[in-house]
Amino acid sequence: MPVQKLTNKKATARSPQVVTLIVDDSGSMSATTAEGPKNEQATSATKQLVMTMQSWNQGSTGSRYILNIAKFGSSTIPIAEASKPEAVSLNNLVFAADSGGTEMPEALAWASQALQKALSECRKIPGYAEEGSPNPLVLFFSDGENTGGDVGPVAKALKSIPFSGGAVDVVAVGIGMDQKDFPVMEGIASRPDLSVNIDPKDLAEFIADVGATLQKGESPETLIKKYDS
Amino acid sequence: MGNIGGMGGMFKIGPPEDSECLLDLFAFVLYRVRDDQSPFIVQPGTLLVWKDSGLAPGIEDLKAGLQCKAGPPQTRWPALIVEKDTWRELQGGPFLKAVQASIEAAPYFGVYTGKEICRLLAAVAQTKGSAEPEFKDHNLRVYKERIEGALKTYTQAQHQGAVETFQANQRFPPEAQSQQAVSAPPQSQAPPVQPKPTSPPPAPPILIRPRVERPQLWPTERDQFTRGFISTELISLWHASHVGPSYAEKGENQDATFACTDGSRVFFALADGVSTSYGARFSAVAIVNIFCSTLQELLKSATEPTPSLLKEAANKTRIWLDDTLSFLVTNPNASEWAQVRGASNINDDVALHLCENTQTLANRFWGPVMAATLVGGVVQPSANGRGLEVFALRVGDGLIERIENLDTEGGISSLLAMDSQETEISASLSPGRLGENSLVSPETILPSIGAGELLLVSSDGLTRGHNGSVSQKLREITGSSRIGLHNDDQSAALTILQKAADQADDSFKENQQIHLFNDNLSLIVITSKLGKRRGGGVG
Repeated sequence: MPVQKLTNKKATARSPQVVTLIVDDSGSMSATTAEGPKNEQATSATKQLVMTMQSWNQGSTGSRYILNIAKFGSSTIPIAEASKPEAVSLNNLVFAADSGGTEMPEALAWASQALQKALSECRKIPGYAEEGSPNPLVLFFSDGENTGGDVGPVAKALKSIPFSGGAVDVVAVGIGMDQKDFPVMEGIASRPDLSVNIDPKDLAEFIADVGATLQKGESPETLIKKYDS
Repeated sequence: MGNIGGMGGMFKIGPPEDSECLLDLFAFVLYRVRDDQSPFIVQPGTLLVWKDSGLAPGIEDLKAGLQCKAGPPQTRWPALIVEKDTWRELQGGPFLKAVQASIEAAPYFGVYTGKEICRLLAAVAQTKGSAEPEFKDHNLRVYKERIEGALKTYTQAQHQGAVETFQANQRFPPEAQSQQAVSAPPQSQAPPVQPKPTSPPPAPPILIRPRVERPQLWPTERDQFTRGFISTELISLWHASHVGPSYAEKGENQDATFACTDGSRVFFALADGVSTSYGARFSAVAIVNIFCSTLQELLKSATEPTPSLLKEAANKTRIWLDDTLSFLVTNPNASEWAQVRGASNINDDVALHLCENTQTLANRFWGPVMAATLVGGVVQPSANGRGLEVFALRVGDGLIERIENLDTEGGISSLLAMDSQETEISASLSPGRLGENSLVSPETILPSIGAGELLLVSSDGLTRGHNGSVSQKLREITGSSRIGLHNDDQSAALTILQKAADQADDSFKENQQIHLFNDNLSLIVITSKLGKRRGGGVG
């Protein structure tokens, strides 16, 4: 008996949802907020999110979610690729804010290949119903200025990955980002209304709400509206 | 006595391999032994090899070793450590103190495996031994960064009141302490940890979380019935649960049914484990057994069943779940965890987090563990002798229908209904505060079963994928107005469910958009034998 009430498409073993998290791990993420350093908030909240998804995966022989997780700074460090939630090592889910700069293009390129790999794995599932699957969700978190090249081509490639059930939803989340740097996030998001600049103290709460959004089958817009001041 | 084992100390404790929890525990353990000038003796390499060997210990193995005062432990400790002279030399020294501190404080830091403790001890050995300065310095940085928070965690655990405290000197005999006080280590073997905090907080007491005993009435394999039949002078009751159609790919059967009799009364229960709840299968089996036995016991001192008696039985069942949760949380290495986890594939540490969260509700997005819905009650002959009266309670979903004439089509009434499209449940029987809230106002009904009538109880599985009543759908599938019941077939309920599952699989093969009975299935059917005597009923 599922406990989820899904108003949209339902993530099931035959229609799993691919969720991709890319988290800024540059030095600026060590800045402290009222809720503690941003990187520690991200670590704790992401672990909780993965545990939440592990708990939702019970009672099924398949997996309702397929996860990609990476942190990025001067380079991108994959933590999980096309993994079932229970296969993600919580010990590896550590954002230490020690990854240098903020090379966004490389991170987005990784997201593209990881998402395609995950979709490829889904398509191997017997009876896989792509049309019935929730849109793949990509969440890109950053608190600083892009120190890499133009994100346009890689962001476009990510958003253009074919998905028969709909489209890839890319949500770009600034973490107290300077307004002058924020337009890059609007360019990364699938639509401008899927970009948001949150108060750094709300980071853990935001990631927790990602879990609630997935559980309820709500659209990412609903999530963004809560934080779009 | 020299050091034992190879050096093997070329590792750095820290992320990504080591969790935040383990690093905090490392800081705490190092704090506990930082002033002990005796040689640590055991080398980091020995501990790392132990961790990765076939002898890798569990927490219980480490505890067992510490209790071996007369001689070295016999199992799962490496030969290099338990060699007779070495073991004697280790007594009262910092190594065994570190082991003691680790296993006693580990639950407060969320560390539950012997392997993690071996790695932590290796880092302590590195710090107190003769490792390269690079590694010692790294470890001391970790210590400095974390000791304040680690002590805070430890102190908070003490204040939570769920612990007993013992002073450190109760864990080590006085003579051992006096030996420590006078034994100065050779300079080359045990350089003191530097820098020492300028104003160290007082050494905290060692905490032991009180062990909670396993509740009585623990389910056994024998309790995991998938079918049953009870016949008294006036009552026939069939019950069964089934994993469901193959296409639904349910990993395990999280539905359970049970019934028992006490003279003229028959007690019955059907539970449907919440699929995303850890331990749902175990819980469903436990709930049906405990609810029935508790209600039976309560009725020994009451003249008649009442709604409040049903609620009391449900509440006592919930309290049993609470006790079970406390037992599990305070015994993270107990073998009973394997029974509770069933087919769940989540990691043990996550399971423990989920269990603790059921008690604390710290993470509002996590549902309670061991959650299941319940429909249960008691059926007995009515006082006027014209039929049966039923006292039933529902927590969460599940349904009760009555077939009012077994020999004709139609005549089906819904006594407790549910929305077959709804997959979210509003209440469940579970441990913790959420379970308590669910029992504030459970639904109760008191239907009767007349001659030629049948009462049907089912979980939500039989409602899925069609819009009619369960009774009507089962009539269609079995081709019988009596849904295939015969008193000479004691497995009739399971037979019905098997037919339903087969029908659902056939429908899915024809059209993959049809998801009939897409869940575990369970069924209880109750009839009166009065009808048989008077020419009706199930024959």
